[in-house]
Amino acid sequence: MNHAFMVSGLTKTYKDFTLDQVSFTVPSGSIVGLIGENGAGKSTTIHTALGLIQKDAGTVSFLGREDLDNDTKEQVGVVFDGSNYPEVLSPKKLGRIMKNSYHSWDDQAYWDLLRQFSLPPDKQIKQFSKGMKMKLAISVAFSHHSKLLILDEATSGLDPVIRDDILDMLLDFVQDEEHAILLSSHITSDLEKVADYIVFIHQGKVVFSKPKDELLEQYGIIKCGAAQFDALDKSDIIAYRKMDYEWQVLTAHRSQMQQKYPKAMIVPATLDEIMLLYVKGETK
Amino acid sequence: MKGLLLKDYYLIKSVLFIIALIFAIIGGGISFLTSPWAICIIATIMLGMISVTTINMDKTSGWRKAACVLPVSKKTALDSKYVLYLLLSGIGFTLGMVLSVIPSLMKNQLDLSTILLFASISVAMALLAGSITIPCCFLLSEEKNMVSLLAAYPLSTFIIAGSALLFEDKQITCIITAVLGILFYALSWILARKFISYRDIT
Repeated sequence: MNHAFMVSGLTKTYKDFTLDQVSFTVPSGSIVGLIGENGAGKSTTIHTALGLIQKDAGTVSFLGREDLDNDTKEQVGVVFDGSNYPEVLSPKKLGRIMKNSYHSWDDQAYWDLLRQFSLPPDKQIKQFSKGMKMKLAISVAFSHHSKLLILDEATSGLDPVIRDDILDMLLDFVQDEEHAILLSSHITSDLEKVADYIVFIHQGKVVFSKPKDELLEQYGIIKCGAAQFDALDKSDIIAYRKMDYEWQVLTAHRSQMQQKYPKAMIVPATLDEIMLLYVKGETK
Repeated sequence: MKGLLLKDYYLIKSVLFIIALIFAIIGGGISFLTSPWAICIIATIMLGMISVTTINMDKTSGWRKAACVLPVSKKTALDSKYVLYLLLSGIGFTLGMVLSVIPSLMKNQLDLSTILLFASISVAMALLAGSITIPCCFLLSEEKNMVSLLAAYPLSTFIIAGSALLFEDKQITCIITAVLGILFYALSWILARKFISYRDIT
């Protein structure tokens, strides 16, 4: 399997935070969702990989190349969280700037996207809503024949309808086996819809990197009382949380647990619940 | 670099009216009170300053992050600011020269030594100040950068005045300070490429 994007042992140390040996891959033809709470290290991982921040250790490869040189940058579309374009520009002017920056710039594709997103070409960006700014950034990322898209919270600030349209665009994009997407998002329902793999970062470390289907099919939450909780084999527990009237226990083998504890109520776990239990739960 | 310079052109265009107005008031006033040649110094400095303000605009808009993923290196992004400064200072210098020559011709006061004197001061002031303000804009926060902007021009004046005390001949002084300005600017550019281009962009 070819990897469109690979991060290995990526490390960056700050006074109060360390990105600790982060490793994961984005296989070609797939969408990888990067999840984690605020401050977990998702954006730091992306910024460090893209060279905005100098890494202390580790290697990063884009489309099989170690360096993010200008030729590789032509093929990598990036959308950061929030607007990163001067507010006095208009989509039309931004298009001209990009045309003079990317050799592979596709003006027709850009204008088609502006029309699709109903973005007024001559209006200044400062008059745009957060969602419109995000749509503009996505239009740029999609208009230079990228093979790899790196989207940092790209769907935040968008209404559910347009978010759905963008998710469909992402799914279309990876129909080409040479394309791949790394999508960092707080909106785990989006990732449940489109991601093939989930990378979960917590306190600067990768907690797991697994196929999404494996997570959703195999992970489960045992909902039980105190007595039942005490009776559980502790090796079956990934994390647990005591709620008002019950214990919630995260397990990685739902069907096996159902056989082992036939009286326990075991429900499938969503990405949100898995993340919550890892972050807020305790481990034995 | 073409795309980066085009972006700066759009930024500058958006504030051009205000700059032109300030230039007309300050330049017109000072040249009326002192010498028409003062306008040459003011035009060179003012236009050069605009390029420095685009660095701050890039910071506040987050463009530095966007530029980092464009197919240009961090060094090229930095080079574009030094090139822009030279371009704008050059335009300001040419414009100032034209605006200064016209009234001098009308008054029949045009002489080569005056042209050389003011041209040298313009070049020295612009390049000495640019060599300080451009790297400071990249390195410092907006608040601290204001201090560098305020300090750069008095410092440049101090260097010119200091040279005037060392050398009696005005023209030699101005030529030496102009050469100093070019050397400082080149040194600032080289050091910025070496140290600033690798700094984190947050």
